[in-house]
Amino acid sequence: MKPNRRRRLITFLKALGADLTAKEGVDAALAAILTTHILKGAPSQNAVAQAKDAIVNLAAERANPPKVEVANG
Amino acid sequence: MADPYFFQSLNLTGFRAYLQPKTFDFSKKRCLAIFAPNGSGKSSVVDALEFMFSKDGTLERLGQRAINNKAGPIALAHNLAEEAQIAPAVAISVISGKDVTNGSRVAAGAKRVIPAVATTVNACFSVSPIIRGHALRTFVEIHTPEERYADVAKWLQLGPLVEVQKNLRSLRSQIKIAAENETALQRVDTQLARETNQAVKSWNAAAVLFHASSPVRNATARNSSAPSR
Repeated sequence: MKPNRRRRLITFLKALGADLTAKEGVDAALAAILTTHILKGAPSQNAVAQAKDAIVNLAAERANPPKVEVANG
Repeated sequence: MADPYFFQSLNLTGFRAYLQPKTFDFSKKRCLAIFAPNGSGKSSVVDALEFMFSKDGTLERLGQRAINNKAGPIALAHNLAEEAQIAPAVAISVISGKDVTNGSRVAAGAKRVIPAVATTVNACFSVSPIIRGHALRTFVEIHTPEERYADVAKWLQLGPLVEVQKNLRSLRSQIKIAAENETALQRVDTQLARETNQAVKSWNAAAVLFHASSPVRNATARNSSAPSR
């Protein structure tokens, strides 16, 4: 693939990630995970596993929100 | 935006089916189709274009040179070119705006250097300019829908996007498996049950009174069941 072509595709993927993250109604944290791991011109070998772990961690965080400290007295 | 390039002319000399110099003038008509009987040299015109813009100065369909064949770059030249002492070559002329640029590429010998104009025009192609008939036939008649999709992606050089799509599909299936994991769901159910064991689901005055008075009732029950002295 020609360098120009590859550069344009990478720019497109970056713009797609930014657009998705900023879009109303889209889970911004989830979009950020996709942008970081998947929407890349040259994703790492274990990009899918990393993205899955990040999503599972996000789900776990949301399932166990930090407990509100109650002041005594 | 820069002016597009248009072919002005294409010249073949000692190249493929054309021994004597032959010039095709494209300056009057920009849309072009070639009709001619078999063996007239239609493919040689397309060959000349592929050769001119090829990185290595060859044609994909010529295959590899071996001891027992005449494949590879040697097949670029007309069979009689050497005997007729004609140097095989292809020349093009392109126009961009008002600027006309010419370039020529020798089709024999080890060094078949690509001319500057071909390099410049080559950089403008976003899609491969040559798609052969056999590739289209295979595409339509033999390939599965998945293979056709891969072909189109390859022709349009969408490799990175196809990779992204493949990764998204894989991620979706893995997340689905993780979300439907029974063990994890049971663990959450157990945790939820444990943590909400004492929760009051709805206000029931009688039940609350019953619960609150349970220590008294228990003590009373113990006392009444204890042996009297």
